This record gives sequence, structure tokens and C-alpha cells, in this order.
Amino acid sequence: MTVDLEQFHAAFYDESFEALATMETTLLQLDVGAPEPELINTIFRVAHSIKGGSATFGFTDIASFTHSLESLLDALRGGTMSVTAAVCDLLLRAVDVLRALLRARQAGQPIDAQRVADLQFDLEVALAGRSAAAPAQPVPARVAPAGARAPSQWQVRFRPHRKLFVHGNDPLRLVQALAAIAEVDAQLDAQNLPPLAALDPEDCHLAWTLSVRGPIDSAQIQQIFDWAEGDCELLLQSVPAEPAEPAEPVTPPVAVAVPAPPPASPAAPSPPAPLDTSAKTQAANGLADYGSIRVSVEKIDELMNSVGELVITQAMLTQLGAKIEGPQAEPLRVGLAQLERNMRELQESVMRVRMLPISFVFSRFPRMVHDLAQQLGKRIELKLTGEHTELDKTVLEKIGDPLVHLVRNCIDHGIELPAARIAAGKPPAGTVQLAACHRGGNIVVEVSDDGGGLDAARILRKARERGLIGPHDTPADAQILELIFRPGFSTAEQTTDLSGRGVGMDVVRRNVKELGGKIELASQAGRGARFTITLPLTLAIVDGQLVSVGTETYIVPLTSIVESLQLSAAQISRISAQGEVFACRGEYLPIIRLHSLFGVEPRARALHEGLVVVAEGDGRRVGLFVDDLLGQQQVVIKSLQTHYGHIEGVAGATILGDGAVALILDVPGLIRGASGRAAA
Amino acid sequence: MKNRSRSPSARATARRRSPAPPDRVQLRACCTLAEAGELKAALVALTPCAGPVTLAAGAVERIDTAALQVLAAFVRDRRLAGRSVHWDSPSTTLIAAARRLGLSTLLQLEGAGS
Amino acid sequence: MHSPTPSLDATARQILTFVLGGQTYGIDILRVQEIRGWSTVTKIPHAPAHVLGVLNLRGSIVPILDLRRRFALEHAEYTAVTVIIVTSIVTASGRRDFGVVVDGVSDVVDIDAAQIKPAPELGAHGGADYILGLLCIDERMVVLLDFDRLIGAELVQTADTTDSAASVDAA
Repeated sequence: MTVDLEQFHAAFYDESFEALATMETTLLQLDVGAPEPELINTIFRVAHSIKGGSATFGFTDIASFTHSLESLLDALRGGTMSVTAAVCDLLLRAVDVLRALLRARQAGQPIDAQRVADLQFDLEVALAGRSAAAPAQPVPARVAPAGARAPSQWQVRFRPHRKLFVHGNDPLRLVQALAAIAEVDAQLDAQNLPPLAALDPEDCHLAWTLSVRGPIDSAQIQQIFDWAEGDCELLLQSVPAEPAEPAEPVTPPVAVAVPAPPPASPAAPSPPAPLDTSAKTQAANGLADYGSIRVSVEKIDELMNSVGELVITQAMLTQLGAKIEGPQAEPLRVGLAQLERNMRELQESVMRVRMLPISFVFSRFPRMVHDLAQQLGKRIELKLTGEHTELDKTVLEKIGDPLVHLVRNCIDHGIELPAARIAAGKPPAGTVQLAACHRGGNIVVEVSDDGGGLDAARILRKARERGLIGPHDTPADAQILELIFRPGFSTAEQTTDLSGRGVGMDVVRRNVKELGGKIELASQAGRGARFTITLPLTLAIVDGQLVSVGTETYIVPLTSIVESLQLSAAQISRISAQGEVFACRGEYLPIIRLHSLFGVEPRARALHEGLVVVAEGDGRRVGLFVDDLLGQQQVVIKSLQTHYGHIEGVAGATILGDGAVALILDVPGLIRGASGRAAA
Repeated sequence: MKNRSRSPSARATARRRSPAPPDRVQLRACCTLAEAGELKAALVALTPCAGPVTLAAGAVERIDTAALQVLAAFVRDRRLAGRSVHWDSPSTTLIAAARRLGLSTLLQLEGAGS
Repeated sequence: MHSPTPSLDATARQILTFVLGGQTYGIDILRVQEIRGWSTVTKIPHAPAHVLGVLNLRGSIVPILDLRRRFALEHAEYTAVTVIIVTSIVTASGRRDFGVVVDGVSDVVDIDAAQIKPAPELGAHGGADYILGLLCIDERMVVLLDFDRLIGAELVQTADTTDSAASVDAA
């Protein structure tokens, strides 16, 4: 029998690239002089698994290189060699070479054999040179494996089978037993709990995630749940005592690995052999990945689409159900209401699958900052916070480049050279901070530095030179800062390798706007600058207000709506230059008649007969004149550009309950269009 | 295309013809799997009641997950239907059990007894 | 779904024929994705006259074009028998699906490339480069259309320049 290895190649590459990313991150965390043994272990394991994989597939060049790397790591692990800055640098270079090797393999391109040989030589030289400095007796600095570590915290996922109650088990009793030996915090999962009418009281539909804190080991937890063996699913996971984010262990991209429960009879833990066979490691990896699967993004998107279709069908049925009369009507409506709830839950679950932590983007920065700082002779400390903040994959993919640009900008223009910092009474090392958090329905990402801040005088000079403002204009400070977002602006005195590449802040702002977000800038001379990016959590769904104009239905995103009102004739006036305006809370707002803009025959022509939706975009407000307000609902955004194209003032389309298409309005676009026409 | 919300008046009238539904259930001292069926029946009888309903839970001395699950389904269904549930002096046994299983929020028992 | 097949090459074997204003037309069957009945479209602002609006086709938002207007035929009412042929063209930016409204679909016909006769020169007025050729089936003349040329360029252009046609009729 021949096995087609090709199909495993893709998985090998994926895993190897992830593994390299882990290795890189871990290397950057290594504290020179006092390295954490566990970190070195991690790096070793990663290198080892790449070696195993590449040998399996006959990639001898990669396997050979990794072997040299592994030998060096083993020396570090065994304490016969110490972690120095030079060694770290060597290892980082090895990561680069490995990455290049893998890329070349993947693309079927020739490899840079000289570069590989050079570095392999360096690795071997480093290894050979250790003996002089090495202690006579290797220090057994190995870290005991997970079982005996007695971590301070465990996470227990406890999902009873339906028949748990009738088999004489009671989760309450189990949790109480656990609470007797440790601190337990139970988080309930009642997603599968049916409506009361449909509930068989003898079936168990609840599940829990238990956070267990205390000096106990996995066997003790296991023992308690032995009672329910065969009646439940149990996943035990140790939670590292990380002060920042105790929720989830940082794992490489795509899937969150949930380690399987340790074997029921915990054997005496034995330290891993330094160079065991790859088969054994594979088995261990398989075990570790038990709780997660790798799914292609297309499959998730397909699932999203199917769910979108289901939501539409369900809405259609609900509308139909509302019209039905007779004895069966009530049970039908109850069933439909239940269906609607289930659909919403399903939709949310699928959306959650697409949510990924922003650490995917953040993870590239430690290396980048490290390299840039060296290149520029600056000392920079990078602080990352809120890496676990989750956002939709599509947003995540598009936010990377703008963030890279901002961070580069901070390093290049913001942080001063150490001498200048000392002269200014600051610590020689500058700080660049990347912070993410959820705020309302948005994700907020801040990029800040404690450098010199933006030089308003220089910006002004540059803007005048470039003709962005008139020679005698004297804009206010806030407006000066705004200038850097204008196309064609760059203050770099000389074009460096870094920021001054023609892509400027205008591109950053445009990218952020395309995502439906905004970027703000605050700066204090001598103290630093802060960019704040606010983004929607997802691009796939929007909360919308349905409005009717004639026979058409449009959707106004709720985030754009300030209020809706019926105008009295006294509020309305006509200003010849601006067209119709109305008085609203002390200001005059222009009116956009949707029917005339979109060429639709309206039911109401006189302004006091319809309604005005006060909407805001780009900091300006307008009144959108519509016939009537319909319901509010969450709608799935569909692109018009796939098969048609962009329409001014329209952000996209969605499919309503009856299968009809409704356009989603782009309020900022409408406002820009309206002011363009008014000016013309 | 018109997504106007449907008025519930038709259903409301239909209901008014039947005798007034009960609006209070007295929980027994022992609320376990054996009594869960009976508890469910009592709570189902409360379902048509549009106004606030009361769960008198002062007598509960023993309770298990099965009974808590029935209560949870009831309280949640009420909440989803926009109707309220009032707890009348829930016993400490009940409150502690709900808290232990992370059910306090779903049961709307938060802040009770403290 | 399909790779960029040429509109109707020498090896094409089957065409779908449809009727529009009394004339029978034919298109490559491989390009046809679906035939469906008429349903009300959602109007889109600033669209050229022959773009009637958009429809939901299995979750995608797809423009619907009126071939009568494209051929400057007189307008007909859309009825229950009006049919939409869903087809696609391949452009530089990827596949674009669209539907064309026709009076009715006639048949799927096997043809032999040798049967196709070149379209007569229509003089300066014609410019009908979207006609691949003429064909005689059951004593009826069938005009073979090249949708890539007929609709391709236009649809793409439409997509890029939709904002200029704004009609402002402030009442």
C-alpha cells in the first residue's frame, strides 16, 4: 500500500510555520542570563517536531539543519551552555532560515544553500565552543512534566450526558465535593436547555466549565468525577499561573488546543528523553491536540452562508406564521419563536468561530520592534495588552498593515535616541504600547509611545511646503495633527528604510475607514503620541433600522442614527445654497430626500408627512427623509461589488425575511455626496 | 418586505376567555429528581400567566440539579417572553446550590439572600 | 463554478435558445447557471436604464439586466411567464453573475459549428460585434450572442462609474 504524502504536506507547512512563530515569540521572551527552563523546553519541542516532520517527508535539508539547531538547544536545555544575547540572535536567525527553507519547499523553489550552510556552521561552532565555559557536570535543569507540577489553577469542562441524573449522579454533589478540597467557580452552559414545555425533567441538558483553584492535582479532580464516569465528557486543563490573562493559554494560530485529560491512572511522570524518536513525539502531539481540529476558513465561510440562508428562511416562516389562524396557530408560533432563538444562538456560535484573538496580529511585533530598535540604535520596550481581545477574522486580516505602519511610525519618529531621552530626563529605553480592548460593540486598539510627541511646528512647515494649506493659514493644534493624515504628507527628513516609503498616514486612515472604523491621534510635546483605532467587531453583521421609501426598504445602520423625528412645518426652512434644512437641537441640519436621491416614487412628499432620521457620519449630521420606520433587526451584510459594483451612498445589501434584497445605506457616503452636490 | 412587528392582541383576547391562571407556586421541602416531574407540571401551569408570577421557595431544604434545571428552564422562558418571576424568600439551601452551579444569574437569584 | 470558457468556440455543442421581441437568440449552454421565473427586483440607485435592479440568487446579490432595453426594443410588461436566465461573465476582477430578462426560453439545441454563418455586415450603424453568428434551426433564424461582449464591458464599466448618474429632483 502506498500512502500519498502530498495531502499531509499542507498540514505540515501550516504547523511548521505556526511552530516557528511560537519559537520566535518564545525566543524574544527569553531573559538573557536567567532564562526560564520552560521557555527553552518549548523552543526545543518546537524544533524537534519540525525535525520529525521534515524527516518523515524526506525533506533532508530541513531535517539536517533542524538537527544542528536542536543540538544547540539541547545544550541550552541541559545547562551545558548558557543563554547569551549572541546565542539568542543566532537562534532568531535560525528561525528566519528555517522559515525561508520551508517557504522554498512549499513553493517548489530552490533553496539558498549557502545561507543555510553558513548558519549551520555558526550553530555548530557555537556548540563546539561551549565546552570551555561549560560546567564539568551537566546540571539537570529539566522541568518536570505537567502531571507533577501542581499548578495553582485548573479548568474542568464538564459536559454530562443526558442520562446522568437517572444513573444516580448529581452535578451539584460533584461540584460540592470538588469545592470541599479547592476553590471552585462554576460557569454554566445552558445553551442546550430546551423550553420548559419540551424539557424531560429526568434528562440533563446543562454543562459547566469549572475554574478550580487550589493545591490539588489532576488525579484528585479525576477521582471526584470517577463517579460520573461514562455519563459525561470531561476535559481537564491546567491553567498556567499567568498574572495577566488567566483565561486561555497562549497557543499558536487557528485552533485553541485543549489538552486531553491525563490518563486515568497517573503513572510516575518521567522526564522526556532528550532525543527520543519522532514517533513518540507525534503521539504526544496528537494527544495534546485532542480538543481541537483544524478547519479551513472556506468551510467556516460556507457555514456562515448556510446559516445566513437559514436565518432568512426562518424569518420568512415567522412572517407566514403570523398570518395563520386556527387551532394550530398558537403551537406553531411557539415553535417558530423557539426556532428563532435557536437560529440566533446558531448564528452567534458561528460568528464566534470566526472570532480570533488579536494576538495573531500582535505576535509579529516583538520581532519587528527588536529588529528595528537594533537597526536604529534605539532602546525600545514593547508592551502588549489585551492580546486576547477577539475580533472577526476579516477585520483581523485587514488591521495588520495599518498597525505595522503605526508602530513603525512610533519607533521611527516617536521614540528618541537614548542620549536624547536621557537629556530629556526620561529613561533611556522608550516604550511602545499596543493595547486592545472591547468597548461597546467596537474593538479599540491603541498604539502609543512615550517619545517626543508630534512636532506641530514641523508638521505645519511641511504642510505649507507641500501646499496642503495656504502659507498664511494658522490652523488650531488639533487640525495640525489632522494634517498628517492628508495624502502626500510625510515628515521624514530623509527617506529611511522604515516609514518614509510613500505609504503614509493617509493610507492607514483609508484602510481603517474601509473597515468602518476611525482613527484618532493625540500628542503631547515631549511626552509621546497615541493613535486610537476604533473598529467594528465584525464586518458580517450590522444592527439596522429598516425604513421604507415608496415600495423600497432601506437599512440604516443603528450606529449612524441619532434619533428619528416627525417634523412640523415650522421646523423646516429652505436655504437656497443648501437646499432644505430643519432645526434640530439648536442647529440647522440639511435634509437628504432618499426618494429623490435614489429615484424612487415616495408615498410622502411633504416633509411633515414622512419621518426624518437624524444620522451622523464623519462628524456631520443630516436628516434622511423617509416615508416610515419599519422594524429594527440584525442583518447579514452582503457585497454588491461581487457581481455589480460600488454605489455611492450604499454600503452593501442584505436579504430580508421574504427573500427580497434591501440596500444598506452608507451614511458618511451619503453625507459626502450631499455636500458635494450642494457645493456644485 | 414589511417587517412591522405583529400585534399580540389576537392571542391576548383568546386567553382572556379561560379562567385566570395561577400566579404562584409553593416549592416543596424536597425538590429532587423524584419530584422534578411534578415541579415541571406546576410551573407549566404558570406559563400562560402574563403578569408577574411568584415562586415561594422558603421551605426548600433539599434540592438537586434536576430540580434546578426545571426552575432554570422556567425562569429563562419567562424572561425570553418578557415576563417576570418573583422569588419569595428563597431558602439558603436553594441560593447556595444555585450559586455553586453557576445558576444564580439564569435563575435571577442574584443578590438574593445577601 | 466554471473556468473561463470562451463564449462559443468551434467545439461548442449545445446552445440555449430564448425569445425576445419575436426574435430567437441563442447562448452557450455552458454559461447558463439557472433559469428562474420573474420576481420583483430591488431597484438600485444611479443605475443605467438596462439594469433593472438586484435579486437574491441563493444568497448572492446579483444584478438583473433587461435585454429589451439593451436592444432598444419596446418595453414589455413583466408577467408570470417572464423568465430570467442567470449566467456569468469572467472579467479581470473575477467572475460576475447576472440575470437577463427574456420573454421566454425555448429549447436546448445541439449544434454543429459548421452550421454557424457569419453575421452580415450591418454597415456603420451595426457595430454588432456581440453577434457570433447566425444559425438556422427548424427554419427559424437564431442569433448567437456573445455575452462577454454584449454585457461584459458594460457591466464592468457600470460598476466603476455608477456615481455620476445621480438624478436630483428636489421636489
